[in-house]
Amino acid sequence: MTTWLYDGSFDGFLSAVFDLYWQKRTDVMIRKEQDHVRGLFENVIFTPTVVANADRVWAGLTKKLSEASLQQLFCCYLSELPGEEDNMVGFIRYVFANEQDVTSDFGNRYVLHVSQVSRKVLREKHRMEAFVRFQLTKDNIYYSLVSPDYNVLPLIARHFKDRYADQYWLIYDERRRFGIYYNLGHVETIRLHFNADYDPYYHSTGNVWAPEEELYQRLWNTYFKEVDIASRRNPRLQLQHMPRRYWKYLTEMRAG
Amino acid sequence: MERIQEKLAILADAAKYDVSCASSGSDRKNDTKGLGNAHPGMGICHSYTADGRCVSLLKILLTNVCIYDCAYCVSRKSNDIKRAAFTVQEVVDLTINFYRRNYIEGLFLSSGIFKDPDYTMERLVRVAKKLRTECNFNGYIHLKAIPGASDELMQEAGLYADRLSVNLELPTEAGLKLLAPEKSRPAMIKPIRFLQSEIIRLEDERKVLKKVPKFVPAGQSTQVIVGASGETDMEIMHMASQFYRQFQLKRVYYSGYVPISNDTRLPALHSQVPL
Repeated sequence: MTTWLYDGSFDGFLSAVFDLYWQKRTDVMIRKEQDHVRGLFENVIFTPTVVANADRVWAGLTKKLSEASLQQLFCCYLSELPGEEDNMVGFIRYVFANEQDVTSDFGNRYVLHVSQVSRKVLREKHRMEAFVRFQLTKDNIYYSLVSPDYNVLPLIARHFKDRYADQYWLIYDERRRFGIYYNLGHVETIRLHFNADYDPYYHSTGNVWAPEEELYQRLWNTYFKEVDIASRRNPRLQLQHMPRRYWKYLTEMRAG
Repeated sequence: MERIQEKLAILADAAKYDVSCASSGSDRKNDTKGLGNAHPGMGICHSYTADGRCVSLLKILLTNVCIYDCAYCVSRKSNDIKRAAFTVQEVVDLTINFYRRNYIEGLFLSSGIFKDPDYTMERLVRVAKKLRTECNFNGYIHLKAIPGASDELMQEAGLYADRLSVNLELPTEAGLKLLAPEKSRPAMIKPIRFLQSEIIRLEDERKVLKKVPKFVPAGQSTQVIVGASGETDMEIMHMASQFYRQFQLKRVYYSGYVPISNDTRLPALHSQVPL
C-alpha cells in the first residue's frame, strides 16, 4: 500500500486520480498533504498537481454525470472528512466502470456515501445562507464571520453575489482562515491578517464599524424579541433549527 | 429608547400573530445589479425565536391604529394599548438595512385600518413602490390587501408585491358576525376575486405579448383564525378547500387563536391554543 499526497486542492485530488488510471494502480490511498500523519513504515509519495490532467478527469466525469451529481462529488471534497478521498475514488471508479448512469444505484456503498455526505454539506450551505450576519464597516464593506462545519464558502458565493450585487461584502471563515470578498464585479478569495488584540465580534466601541451599525443591530434585536410569543415558548424547537454552535455569530442570539 | 425602536417594538408585537412566513414561490431575478433576489428555489429562514417559529420576513404593521373593533384582535379600537405608526420612509429604511445585513428575506407589511381602506392601502402600496422603483429592491414583498380598497390600488399593489393576501379572519360567516360585526365575507371575497381575474388576464396576455409586467408572481394567500369562534374542523376544511378551488389560492394559513382578552364571546384567557 502506498500513500499519495496532494496539495489539498480539488485539482490536486483529480490529478492524483488521473495518475491512478495512468499507472493502473489500485493499491494507493490519496490523502491531503497538510493533514497527513506519516506511519512508521508507510510508503509516501507526493503527487504534483497538473491542471491539464485534472481537467481531463473532470471532463470525463462531466460526460457521465449530471450537474447535480458533479456537485455532490465536489461537496464530498468540501466535507474535508478524514479519508473521504477513498470514497470519492471508489465513486469515480464505479462511475467510469459502468456504461449507464449509476447515480441512483444506492446498493453501491460509494454512491450511497456520496449522496449522504453531500446532503450534509448542502444542509450546511443552506444554513450559511441563512445565518450569515453582515455588519457594516466604516469602509462600507458588509462583513461577516462564520465557521461552518464544512468548507461551504465556495458553494454560497453565487447565492450572495446574486443577492447583494450592489454592495461590497466579505464572508470570512474563521476556522479555515480564508474569506470570499465581492468587489461589485466578481467574488475573490482572500486571506486576512488580524492584529493579535483584534476582537472580531461586534463591539459598539472601536472605530471599525459604520455609525449606523449599532442602531440597526439594536433594532433587529428588538424586533427579534418582540415577535416571540411568550405563551408558546419552545426552546427545544428553537435549538433544533438553530444549534448553539452558530449563536456566537448571530446578532440576535449574541445579545441574549 | 429611541422613537423608532419603540415603534418597531409596538408594531412588530402587533403583527406577530399574523402567520405566513413563506418567502419562496416567487420569480424575481436580480438582473439589474440591484439589491436582492427572489429567484425560485428554497425559502430561507434566517432565525428562530424562542417559541420555535422561523423568522424569514420583516413582519410589521404600518400602524396599529384601527377603526374596527374586532374582538379577537389586539389592535382593536377599544383596546387600551400604545399606538404607533411608521412613515413610509421608515419602513423602507428598515427593510433595506435588515435585508442588506442578511437578517431577512423581505417584507411582510400589514396594517390596521386608519381613516378608510383606500387611504390605508395607498400607504402600503407606496412602501412597495418605493422599494421596487427607488431602491431597486428585488427581495420578497408580501402585502395585505385591504378589503374595501379600490381596484386601481389592488392592481398597483399587484405590480410591486410578490404576494398579496386578504385575511378571511374567521372560517365561518357566523363567527365573523359575532366577533367582527363591521366586516363581511362578501367584502373580503371581492378583492380576492379581482386579483384572481387579473392574474388570469395577465397570464393570458403573456401567451401573446412579449412584455407583460409581473403580477403577484407568488400568488394569493389568506389566513383564518382557528379556535376563536367555536367552528368545527369540518367547517374549516370545507371553507379552505372551497377557497383553494374557487380562487386558486397558494395557501390558506391557519393561526391558532392565542387568548388575548376577557371578552365573553371568546375563549377565556389562558385556555389552550388549538394546535
